[in-house]
Amino acid sequence: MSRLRGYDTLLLMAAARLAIIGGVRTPFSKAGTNLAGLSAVELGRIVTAELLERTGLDPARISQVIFGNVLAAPDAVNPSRVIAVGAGIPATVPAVTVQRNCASGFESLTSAYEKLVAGQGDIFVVGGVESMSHWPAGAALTDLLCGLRMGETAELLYREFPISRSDQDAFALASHQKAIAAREKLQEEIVPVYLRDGRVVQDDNTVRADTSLAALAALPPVFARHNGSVTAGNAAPVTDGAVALLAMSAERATEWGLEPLGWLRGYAVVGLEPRRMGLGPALAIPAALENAGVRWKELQLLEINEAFAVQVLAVLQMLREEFHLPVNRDLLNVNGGALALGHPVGASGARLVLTLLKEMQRRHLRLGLAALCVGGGQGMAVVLECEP
Amino acid sequence: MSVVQYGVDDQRIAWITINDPASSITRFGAELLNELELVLEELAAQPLTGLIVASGKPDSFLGDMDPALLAGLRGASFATALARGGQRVFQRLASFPAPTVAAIHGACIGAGCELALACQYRVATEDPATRLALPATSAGLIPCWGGSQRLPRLIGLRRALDFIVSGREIGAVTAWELGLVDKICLPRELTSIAPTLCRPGRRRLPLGCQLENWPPMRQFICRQTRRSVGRLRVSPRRTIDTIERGLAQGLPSALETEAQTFAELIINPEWRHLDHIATLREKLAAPEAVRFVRRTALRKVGVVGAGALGAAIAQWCAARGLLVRLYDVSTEAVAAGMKRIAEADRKTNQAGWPAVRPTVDWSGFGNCEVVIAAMTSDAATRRRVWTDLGRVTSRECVLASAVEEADLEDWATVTDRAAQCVGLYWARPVSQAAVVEVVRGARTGSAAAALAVALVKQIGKLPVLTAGPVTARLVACYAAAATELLREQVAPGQIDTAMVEFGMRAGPVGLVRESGVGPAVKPLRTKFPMAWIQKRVLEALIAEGQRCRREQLVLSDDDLDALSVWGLGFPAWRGGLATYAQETLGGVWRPNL
Repeated sequence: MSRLRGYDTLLLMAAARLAIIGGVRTPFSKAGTNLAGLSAVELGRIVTAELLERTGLDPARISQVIFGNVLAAPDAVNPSRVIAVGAGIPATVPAVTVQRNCASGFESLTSAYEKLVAGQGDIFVVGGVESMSHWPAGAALTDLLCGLRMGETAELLYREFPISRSDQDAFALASHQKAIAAREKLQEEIVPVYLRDGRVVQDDNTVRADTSLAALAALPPVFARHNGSVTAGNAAPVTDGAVALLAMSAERATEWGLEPLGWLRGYAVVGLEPRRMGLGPALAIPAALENAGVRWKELQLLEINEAFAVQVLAVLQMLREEFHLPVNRDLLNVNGGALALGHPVGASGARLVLTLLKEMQRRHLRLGLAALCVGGGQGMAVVLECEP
Repeated sequence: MSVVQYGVDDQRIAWITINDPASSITRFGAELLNELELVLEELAAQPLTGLIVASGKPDSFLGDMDPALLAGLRGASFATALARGGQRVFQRLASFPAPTVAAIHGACIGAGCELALACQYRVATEDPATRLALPATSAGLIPCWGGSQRLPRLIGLRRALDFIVSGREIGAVTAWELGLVDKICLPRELTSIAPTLCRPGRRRLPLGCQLENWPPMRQFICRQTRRSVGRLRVSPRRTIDTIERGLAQGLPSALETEAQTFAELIINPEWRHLDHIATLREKLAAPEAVRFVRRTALRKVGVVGAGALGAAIAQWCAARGLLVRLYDVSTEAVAAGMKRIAEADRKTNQAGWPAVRPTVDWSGFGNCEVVIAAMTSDAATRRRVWTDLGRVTSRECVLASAVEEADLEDWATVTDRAAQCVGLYWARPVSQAAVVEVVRGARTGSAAAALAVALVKQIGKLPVLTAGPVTARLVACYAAAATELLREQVAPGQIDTAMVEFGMRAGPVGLVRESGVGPAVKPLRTKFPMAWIQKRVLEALIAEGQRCRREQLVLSDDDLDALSVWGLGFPAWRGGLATYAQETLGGVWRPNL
């Protein structure tokens, strides 16, 4: 596990720091509902245009546009490029789309950093887009490698770890409650989406104020109908949404007098058995800490994406027992997670970064971490830093 | 130096190159016609395998008649002579012993297009610069050098009528689809492709088009077209008559009919009026004086207010390539505006929507080059918004007020940036009316006014400098005159019909309804004379126009013509309000007291 960082790498990392200046997202909307009429690139165009408006950045200065997207529509196979041109970014600015399944949103940010370090530009529009309304039925939620649906991998964790159905439902309920309490705060991230018929979408519509333990307990298991635990209530809903972040080098931020929201301190991505993909964060987190040169105790806030309640609970248990990294639940997903807000797969990573940084700003914290499990058997974590 | 040059190549193909070095586009003057006739005469005597007519200009083929030719006409007999003169030369080309080809690259308009039609074959380049049109009919005349007669024989009656009556410009591909050109090639292939067309024989008209020439069919098509052009203007109707009669005759007598019609239309004032308006358009749309030329096009404007006016302005600007930041106070107001924009896009088949960025805060206004304030709210709200605008925009930003009721002086004071404040009054409906009034307040700087003018031109509208909302006053007067008549118990339908018959774009009763102050008087069943209704409304309009001139709101009769035609919807073929007033009232029209 332990790797020594080379001297050269240290030098490079000291030289290049990636600042995250700001970001916006669309409301997250259950697939087939409010945002179903908009394509992923249309959602991306809206957040990118608004990001440019709010930051006042001259789009010609952008080095590259990098969005994460899991399943591109056949008519926009490089969604980033379509988004960039549609949002009024000059055609001379190149664009690439990255795909690391659920971590695509992280990947857009880290690949911007890698481009910065490699001398390939210094201003990036990054983020993630996903319109699961436009997915063909069943596509991409089944992993070819292990022949299991994502929910079935979660059921495997239920069998492996002593996590009861009621633990899962309680975790899901807490997620909804935190999201409701944080509605005002989340609204700061959201740009209203205006539809052509005069409607306007302003709120995440998967958050439920009316849910309860009893209601959650009444839901039937979806993936293993007789002895399963994963229900529609304790799994993240399929969702449409887009997030855009503006990231740039420290020099550019200083030059233009932009106040960064935070910095990318370090990150790591790991692989594991595809059938245990839900445990990815447990392996990625220690690796990311090491990469960032940060100790566990220094972390002040944590986001672990809630693909499935059982999956997050399993990650917590593994962190505690195998790596001796006990997680303080009060610092985890403080504004709710994907169980309540939804999980537009390609966009979720970018939302975690945005939500985490905004909360760190509010609480005047210095170090935070966000992690995701990745279908196909990977895990990814990023360490973020705010200047006190 | 001669305008027409020629040479014969080793395949015994003659190349005629026409180029008037004194002008950017070669127009047909007397000199060109004479030279062309001599050259054709000389070449006809030689044993040739082909004749190719091309242009010596890199970016245009041949233009229309020299305006000097038309201006010099002193009556019908001169006009007949002019038509016959051109017809004779083109007839010489049409009956040339060897195959003839027009090699078209660039504008091929009017007389130039007629020359191409006189050739046996036409080859055109697939290039945006290549445009073909016969605009004479839409300009109040008729293509008089054989065009109106040769075209229906070439592409069939229905297509020919549409092309000539509409006067529209078409590209090479459309021309090929219509059968107007025989071949399309790339610009660099033109000189190599043209000789390959030099072979005897003639394309046969498709059966369907031949059928259109069957007399009952011909009558039917002409009747249909006549109905579609209406009864108001003379030239489209006479053009249709001429084409219909010409098809029943042989080409020589058809050409004579064409010449007679031309002479008849020349003494009709319609074309002079249309010419006057076309000149005005050219003048207003011309690039600015060198002093004010901007190096780059404007990129971004802000629009404040997503009501009917604001949304229309935002949509128009966005559909013409500008980024638009659209502000209103509430999400609901913005959503309503965005819906309007989507509807306007759908109706006009444009794509303004993606370039409009809605907001309910002032972010994104810092890098707007022009902000157009179009809130229809009360004065207090307006002042509050102006104050905000002064704060959030850059010092260089031009602040334009689009609301006629707003006081420009107040606007300038509140924003604390008097030199940057202008009025920008949009004729309604924004999507149809082509004119925008640019108003300089007492303290408006010339740079700001120039930028506003540049913006208006960039979005394809015509800027007219005024000192107050003239169009709005004319429109209000038009509505008031109608209200008056309604009060006298004239039926609303009669008023509208009378004014549409006069040629107005729309009747005034709709405007009265919009303002919601129509009198609740039951109309009489009497049928009032149309001329009387027209007289009442026009007298009111003329009086208002005269007041605008005397108050120096509008600086010249020409400007008043422009505003009345493109703002109010006054018929262009009547020359505009001021021209109409002068012609009908004579000495009574005294704009300068």
